[in-house]
Amino acid sequence: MLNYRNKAIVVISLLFSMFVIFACTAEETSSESSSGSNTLATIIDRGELVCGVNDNLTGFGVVNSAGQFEGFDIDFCKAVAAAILGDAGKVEYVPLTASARFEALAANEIDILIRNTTWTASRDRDLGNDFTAPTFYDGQGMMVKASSGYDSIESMAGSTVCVLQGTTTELNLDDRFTGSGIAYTPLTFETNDPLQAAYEEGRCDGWTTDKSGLASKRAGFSTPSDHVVLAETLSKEPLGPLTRDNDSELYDVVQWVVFGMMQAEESGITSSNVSSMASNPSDPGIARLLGVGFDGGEPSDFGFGINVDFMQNVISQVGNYGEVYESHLVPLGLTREGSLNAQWTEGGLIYAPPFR
Amino acid sequence: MRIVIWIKENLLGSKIDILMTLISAYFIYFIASLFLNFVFTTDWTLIQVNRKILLVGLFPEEQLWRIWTVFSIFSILISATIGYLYKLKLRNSIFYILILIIPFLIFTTMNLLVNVLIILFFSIISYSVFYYLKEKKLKITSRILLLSWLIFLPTLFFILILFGGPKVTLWGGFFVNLILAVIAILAGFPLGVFLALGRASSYQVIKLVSIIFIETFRGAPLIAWLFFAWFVLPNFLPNLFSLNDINLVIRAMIVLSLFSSAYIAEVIRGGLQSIPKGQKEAATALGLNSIQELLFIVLPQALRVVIPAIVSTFIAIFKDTSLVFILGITDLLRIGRLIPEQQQEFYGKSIETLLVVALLFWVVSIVLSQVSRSIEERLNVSK
Amino acid sequence: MISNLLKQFKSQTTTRKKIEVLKYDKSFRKFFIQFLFSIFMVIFLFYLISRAFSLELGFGHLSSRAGFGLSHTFIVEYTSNDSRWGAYFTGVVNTIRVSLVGIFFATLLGIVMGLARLSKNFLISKISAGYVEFLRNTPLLIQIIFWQLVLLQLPQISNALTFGGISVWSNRGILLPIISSVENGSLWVLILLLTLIASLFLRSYLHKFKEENVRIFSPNLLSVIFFLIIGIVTYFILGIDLRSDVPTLQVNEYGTYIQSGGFALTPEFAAILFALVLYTGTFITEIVRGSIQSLPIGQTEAAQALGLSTYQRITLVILPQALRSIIPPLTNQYLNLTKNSSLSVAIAYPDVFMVSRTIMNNAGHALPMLFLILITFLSLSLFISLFMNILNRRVTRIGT
Repeated sequence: MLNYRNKAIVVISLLFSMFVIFACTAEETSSESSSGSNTLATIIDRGELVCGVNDNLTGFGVVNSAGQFEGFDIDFCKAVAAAILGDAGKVEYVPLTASARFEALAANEIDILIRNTTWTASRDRDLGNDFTAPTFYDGQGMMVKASSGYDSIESMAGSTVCVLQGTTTELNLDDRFTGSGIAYTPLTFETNDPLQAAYEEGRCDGWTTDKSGLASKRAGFSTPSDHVVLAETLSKEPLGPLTRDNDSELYDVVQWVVFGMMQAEESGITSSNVSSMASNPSDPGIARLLGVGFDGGEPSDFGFGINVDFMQNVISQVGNYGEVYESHLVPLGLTREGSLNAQWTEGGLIYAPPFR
Repeated sequence: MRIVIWIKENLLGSKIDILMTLISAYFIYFIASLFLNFVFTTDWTLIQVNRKILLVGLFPEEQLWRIWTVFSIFSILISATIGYLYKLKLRNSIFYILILIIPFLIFTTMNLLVNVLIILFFSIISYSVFYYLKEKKLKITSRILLLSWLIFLPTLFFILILFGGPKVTLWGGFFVNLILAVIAILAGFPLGVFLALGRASSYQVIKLVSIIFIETFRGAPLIAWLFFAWFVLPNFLPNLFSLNDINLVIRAMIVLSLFSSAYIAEVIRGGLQSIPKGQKEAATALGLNSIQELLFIVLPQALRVVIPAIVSTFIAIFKDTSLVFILGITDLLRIGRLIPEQQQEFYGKSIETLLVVALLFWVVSIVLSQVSRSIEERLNVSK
Repeated sequence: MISNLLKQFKSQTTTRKKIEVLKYDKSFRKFFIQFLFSIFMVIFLFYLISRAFSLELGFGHLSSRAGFGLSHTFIVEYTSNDSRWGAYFTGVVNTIRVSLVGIFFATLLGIVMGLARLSKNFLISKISAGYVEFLRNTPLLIQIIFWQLVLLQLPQISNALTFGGISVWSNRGILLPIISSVENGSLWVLILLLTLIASLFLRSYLHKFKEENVRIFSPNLLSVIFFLIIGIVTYFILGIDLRSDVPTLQVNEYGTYIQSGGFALTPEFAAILFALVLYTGTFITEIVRGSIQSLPIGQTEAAQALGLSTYQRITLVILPQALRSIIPPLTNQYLNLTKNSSLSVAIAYPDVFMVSRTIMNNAGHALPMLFLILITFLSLSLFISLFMNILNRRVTRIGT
């Protein structure tokens, strides 16, 4: 019964086929998977938007005990649905893990991906995605216990750091520590739950991931004040929605829904005053944004292929950027003042190109 | 008096025995008190609140009848098969039913219990009917059974997906583990039979291909194959399927089926080897050709012998379905891990949910392994 | 044979009859079916390869700098400046380490529990039965996570137990004092291990020699002397400087607790090890029990009649005979254990699979990485099977 000969046959044949397949391919080949398709038309036909989201990041995307998705990213799904279909409720959420998300987008499993995803060159080009616009400017941070007394990365010499397997997280971490000659031990986890247990029980001194994620997890702890997120940022992580490459109709809609929500905040349009603003716009810019005529004129149509007054639906059903931020991220302790996520008029990076 | 003798013989045989008895008695006491203490001091409301989500995940409430239908068809089919093939001892059957009731004590609501009782009732009826048919020696019975098993897999997909069924991405909870295991075995079985025949065949090319397939799939751990399903498989699947059809759950099904087929093939190969040579010679003497010989003489006997081993393979695959948790599929284990992380009121109750998850897996596995054991005993007796 | 077939084929006049000849010729049919099958397989393979070309292929990415650290390294030194090959190799070593230790303890546990299962003592046999029924029917992944959660309940490092300075126990690891050397320590241990194996072979060879020749020396003593001589000579050649390595717990200038030295059993390693041992142990228990039960009862009775003690009966009569039917299924369990060790990816023990996952995440190339994993595990299985085969041959030879 111990037929190791068969195993030997298999090993040899596999080695052989490996040689055949790989030996001649020194050049890297990249796949060009997606062809130009019109997902916008598909969504309108279907009457529903399929949105790839996170289901385990409080504040950004999470399933509440009623079984409903809620969060900052979820609200952008709702906003896109409201813009295209006129109803923020017509969304099907597909929960995805960090590593499955691009796969799901490329395989047409979802229409758009709004899952705290960082905009990088390789993802934009190699993986065949298009990033629309950053909705949140994030950066990799480090959370430590308040009692530990750490105040900077330098003070963490000799410590153990818990890190979630990610595309660049461990690399940023190692660049920062090894690059500065600080000794440390990384503990790399595939899923979040054993990591959280390890951090809480003091198996590691620090936990590194995106600052938004840290804030979200910190808010979930029984006593959040026992934990602090260090001020230092290890990397730039602009997060935003993605569509497939060459899907420009949907791309433009998603991009301008995001910009529209930012512009609405800048112009002072909120979910409570949007209807009065629409019936009596105070200046031509607001009229253009809300798709209504100013002073009896014709409403301006930007040709998105959806209702001209789509921003009215978005703002009345979901709210402007500030409202969305306020309801989901401020409770986590992610204050806007002084951060990159403040409006450009207040020194931040939240800036919408003009609607005209 | 008898008890005293029993105790003397079984517990206090010699001095070492007395010592061993004392140590193991303390050990049992220690484990039992630890366990009971844990069970009775824990607040189990977290399970009651999350009952639905643990069992079926985000499956829409109004679509649950689909799961119930599949579940009842499956259990009726199983009881029919058992009724046709074997005679169960009454004591054993009562044991299975009692053990199956344990999780329902935790998960009970009234209508759940009613559904279960109805299914149980029909299963017992189908068991008795097929037991009766077997006694009558009606030829058609086995054909009906075989046909039902063959069309079960398509029917299952039909009921779960067609006519507005929820997307596969919404499947979750224990349901996913069960369905993955059932599909892996049902789809892996025919392929496993072919592979086993291929490996035993005198056609060298076919034999080589079978060996490579079997040893390749058995060579790497399942988790590696699941990652293969995740990252690589999409590029190899033909683009015949429209939007949303090929997602991770379906790909996991494909890989699990291939994986289980390799293991089933080895089991069946053992069964084929156990068929005495005289059977084949007798078949040749009767003038059957090699295909007839295989279909009517060798395979039926071999399959009958290997059923317990196939049940064991099913248990192994069923336990292994918990690995899809690492892929982020919301199976029972993932939900069990997410609840204490996300719901403030149950924060940090990781071990509690983990134990309930383990219990559910355990109950199904132990019942199946007992079934397989009693089938094996019956086979040995009838030999 | 072919010429015969050709003759027959030519002798037929109609096409129909010619086909008939071919149809009823066994060797032609065999060839024809295999030919069709091969064509089908070639087309299928061609399809697979053409698809594979749209993926990232090649192993060039493994030569670049890894850029990530690993929490567990063993024997091989690894830093994030090494190549990804280095990281992969560290993972392979970690897998081998946990598998070997796991195989050893699982076998031990399985034998003990298998014997306990057959014990006349009611309680002991029930403990064994309960152990098997509970742990065998629960998924391994759940057990691994369970042990991780349990081991995290050890004291945190700031309140670590030190047992008077000889050992450090915290949930960062259990550190035990060991004897180690400053230089060439692992090399010496390796030499000692090889010498041990060599002296075992020497012993069996001498035994054979003794059977055929006069009794002038003791094989056992000679092989022990051989082992000692080599050990001492290499000790001086390598300049081994033995010292006791007592683990310490220190606080550095920033207030970070650092435990170092000694033999470290980290919670990740311990969790995967406990789970693998306990889970595989249940299967080995059943194998041992089945094999012993299949021995004729006369063996036990004969041993009792000879006046052997229980211990002698088991080690001299029962186990050697049972071993013959134990080894083949045992090999399967060893292979399973090795493959199952890849589940350590769930709890951050950097085995070969976890390291590959990290590389896949950083550099893509999923297909080549999975290929590499497949080859690695197949080679490991091959080694285990080979070794067990040799063992099996020895065991069966002793019996006959």
